[in-house]
Amino acid sequence: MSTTSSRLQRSERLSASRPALSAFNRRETRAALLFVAPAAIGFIAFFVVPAIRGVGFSFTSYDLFSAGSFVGFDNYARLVTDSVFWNALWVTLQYVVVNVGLQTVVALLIAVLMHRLTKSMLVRGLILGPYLIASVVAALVWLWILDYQIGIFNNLLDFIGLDRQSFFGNPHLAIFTVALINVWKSMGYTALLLFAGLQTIPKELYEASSIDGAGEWKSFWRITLPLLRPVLIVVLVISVIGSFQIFDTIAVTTKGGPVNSTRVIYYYIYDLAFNRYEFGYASAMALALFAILAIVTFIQLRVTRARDNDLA
Amino acid sequence: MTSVLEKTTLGGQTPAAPRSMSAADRKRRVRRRLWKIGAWIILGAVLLVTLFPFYWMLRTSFSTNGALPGQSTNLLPADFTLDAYRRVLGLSTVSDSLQQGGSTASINFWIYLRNSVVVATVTTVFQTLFSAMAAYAFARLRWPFRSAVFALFLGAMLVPPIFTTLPNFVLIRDLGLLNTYAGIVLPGLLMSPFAIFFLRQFFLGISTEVEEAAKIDGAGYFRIFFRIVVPMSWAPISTLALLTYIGSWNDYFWPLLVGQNENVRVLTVALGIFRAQTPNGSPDWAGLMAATFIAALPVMLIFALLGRKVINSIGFSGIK
Amino acid sequence: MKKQRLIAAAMAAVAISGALAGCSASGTDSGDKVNLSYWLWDANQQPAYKACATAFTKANPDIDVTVKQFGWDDYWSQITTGLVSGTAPDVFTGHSSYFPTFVEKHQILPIDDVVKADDINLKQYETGLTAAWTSGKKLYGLPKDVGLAAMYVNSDMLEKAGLTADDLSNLEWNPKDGGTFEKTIAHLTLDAKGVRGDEPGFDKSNVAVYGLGLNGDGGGLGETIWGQYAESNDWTYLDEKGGKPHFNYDDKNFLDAISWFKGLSDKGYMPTLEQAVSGIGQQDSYGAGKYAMISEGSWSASTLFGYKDVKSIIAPLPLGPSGHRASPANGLADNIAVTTKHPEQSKKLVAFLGSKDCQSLVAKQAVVFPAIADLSDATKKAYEAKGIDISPFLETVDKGDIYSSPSVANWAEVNAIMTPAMQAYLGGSAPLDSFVDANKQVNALYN
Repeated sequence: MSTTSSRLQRSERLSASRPALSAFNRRETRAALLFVAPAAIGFIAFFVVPAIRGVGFSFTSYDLFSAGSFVGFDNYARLVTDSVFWNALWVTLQYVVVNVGLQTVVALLIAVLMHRLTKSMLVRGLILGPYLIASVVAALVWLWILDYQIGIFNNLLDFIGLDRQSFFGNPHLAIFTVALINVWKSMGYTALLLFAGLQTIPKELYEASSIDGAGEWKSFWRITLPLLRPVLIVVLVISVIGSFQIFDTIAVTTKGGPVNSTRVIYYYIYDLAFNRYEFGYASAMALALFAILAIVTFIQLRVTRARDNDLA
Repeated sequence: MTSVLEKTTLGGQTPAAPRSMSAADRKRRVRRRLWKIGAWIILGAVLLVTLFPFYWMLRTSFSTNGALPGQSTNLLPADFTLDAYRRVLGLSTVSDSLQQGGSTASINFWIYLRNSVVVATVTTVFQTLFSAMAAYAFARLRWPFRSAVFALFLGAMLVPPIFTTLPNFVLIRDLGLLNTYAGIVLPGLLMSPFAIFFLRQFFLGISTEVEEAAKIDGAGYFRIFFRIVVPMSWAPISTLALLTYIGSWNDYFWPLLVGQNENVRVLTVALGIFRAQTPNGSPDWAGLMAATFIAALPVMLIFALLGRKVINSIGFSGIK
Repeated sequence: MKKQRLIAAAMAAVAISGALAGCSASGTDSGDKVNLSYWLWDANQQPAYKACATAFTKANPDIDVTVKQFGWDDYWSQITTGLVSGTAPDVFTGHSSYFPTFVEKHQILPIDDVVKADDINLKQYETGLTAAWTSGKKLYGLPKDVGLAAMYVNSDMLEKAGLTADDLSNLEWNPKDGGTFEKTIAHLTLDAKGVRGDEPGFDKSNVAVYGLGLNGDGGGLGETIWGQYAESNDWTYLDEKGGKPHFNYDDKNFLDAISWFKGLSDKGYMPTLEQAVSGIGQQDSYGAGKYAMISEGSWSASTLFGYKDVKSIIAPLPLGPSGHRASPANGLADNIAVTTKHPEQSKKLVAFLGSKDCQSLVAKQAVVFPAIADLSDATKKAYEAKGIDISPFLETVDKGDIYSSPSVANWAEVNAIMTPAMQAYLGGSAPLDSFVDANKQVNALYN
């Protein structure tokens, strides 16, 4: 036992230090390369090469039928003056803000409630339900529930005496309806994430604060929120990146309308590439989106890292 | 401050100080109970909002299309019928279908169900396998440029999928794999950055003792991986497989692009198409709800059986 | 553990072999028999074309035809994917709005050779139809049907309003006060308390029956929605200026027509756009007794007359300020995909579908009007057998009160601009002059 542990210690010490190239075991390297091979092939074939090709397409007038011609920066110039593109960014931004904002707040509420009331598996399972179904399933069910003429929600509004609302047909409401549908779909998952985070907060802190006479509200602000910050940040970053990819819900309900009010960037790119045969332009737009997201994520990480440093 | 008079008229009861403590206690208890009741009401409302759409989906799927407008607030099915399921499963004749407000296209959700199963299973099996292998290489094996390659793979997570989707479509088209199972599963088959990340975390956390012992005994890396590491990590691996299965089952965008043909169409794509099918323009609501229920059912079943794992796994993926 | 892995591996193996086998959409061949795939989008016409397919195979025993139907949205995306991947159907029903794009991108085959070889008489078709399918002096399809528009009226509601079919035969509309047409619509409109639209006390926020239905925004075409009004106001969609199309969506006659049209909604005689695009479509709403009149195509006649609770009659479109009616005359034709593996057989099929043999079969089904002029009597009789009098449709053709939809390249782009513009205006969120800007954008596409 002692010889094994000392051998272990030696090998650990070896691996802890930064080994020179010659220190790599040939056999180990070969095995590692074999292990990584399938993933690496997938990465190169379906990620790297397409990415390069995508950049290539963006400089052409490719339309899926024929090769198209080289057009230099024309597609990018067109982006700048394309009002539907800027509208798409604006619409997507509206969606992201409402979706992520509302979802985080609601999920936090649910997580805290569950934390204080019940840790039942059943409740957790039920809450997770909407997350498990496909986006298109959620979209279609809500399309039916929120229908202007015969949907039950509008009938309820009518019954109470409020005006019927055309949730999908009113350009001012449509994108928010889409956002709310996705809040419904994802709030359970986000709640469970935060719930897991809440579990890591030591109970003693709450006990101590209740002895000191602090109410629920105070202990939430003073204890829960600050200690949950790292989890919240991760949740926010992931949610924002994910929200930019909204497509499914719109594809089966509003298809970009009415009046382009739900023409989010993903849908616009898809429409351009496959319905209007403007593959080259769509590729340029996808590259632009990539650049924008990179900047957004960079800013997000910078801001949150600064906050962390302040806390410390 | 109680006066001497009040003290005497209290008629020999306990002194003032202890009574005020119990009153404050009572106040706190009442407030706590109010909070609790309020919290339960809110949680109950949340559960209601969460679950009602599922009930409504079921209720509509058992209704007759013609009766829906008239009974739109009836909580029970409007003119209970199994016709919607018959239409959707291809058991109804074309003329019946048209009469009930459905379409004449031959819909056969059994085929789409099969397609979803094939796509999800193949994707899950291979993606999990290859990602686990790669994760092991990143976590346990020493090789040159390991961290650089890992950072590269991770970077892939930050790229918006559409950027690679468009050229991948062209690639699949050029390979002649449009409208085949291979075309649908190929891009995701070999690796997933998230899966590699997820499993690497686990592998890093496993103690090295057993592996070292096996190495000393002369076991090769493959044997160590398949005979020792995998069984030890069966919990996270199976959880990952479950999440991958669910994700693949619910995927819409990519199968929409490359899997339109009936033979390979998956449930999500079929739903989108079903929505636009009826000749009169009004959707076949009952049929649509029946179709969505069929699409959602398998995942719900898997969740009912294996849900505990999924629920417990949510937490690792988030925090790290 | 091991068992699970074995099962998983087995499933994977089965699935992979299935995947590698690959499945394609185009017709497969068994031995000497050729199997052509034929696609269409109108489910109502499917039985008619299945009958044609059977007749074709009888005459050509070595060629089988599989007929498939897809909903409109789905149809075009599948055609595109098919053309792009080489798995498109051999022959498919084409539409005038996609025709120029497919020609420009060399995706459909011209059929002049088979016209010559089989000595097909192009004059047998109604005037103007073959021109719509010609481009660069080549013909790409034989006209197979004619789509016209008229008013479908709920005859019970007509009676209760004290009107007869004759009262509807010469209605007029104009942008100023709507003329007799608007008066009739108003009279047929009923609010929840039974007050008619032209009576005092009419509550436009609580309408039970609309005098005129609405089928959506119509995009840049407005076929059967507003096209008939604009065109009967001395207006055309576009002119050719120097070889390039120049659209007229900023023309005063167009703006007047659309503004009057929207006015019907504002007054409560026609539903709002929001209502029109929600849960129940125009046809079903008509069938449920919510609309007294709707303007719809001839291709919907059998559906509309099939509603159990509604008895219908067909009335002609109203006369416009131009002194004429204006019905769209949209002719469909079958196109051959360039990706077909059997061009010769496909050409045979197209020739057959455009022939009297097939079109008389279609006429008998009474779902569309065939393009061959001689068959109009047979068509009329077939519809009469179903209790439908299609004379109002045929009269517009006889009088020449028809217009064809624009057939230009890049129509998808035009629509992408006009659809939001029309939605915005009809929905009330943009003013009338927003069309001026939209028109500028449209015309910029062709410079």
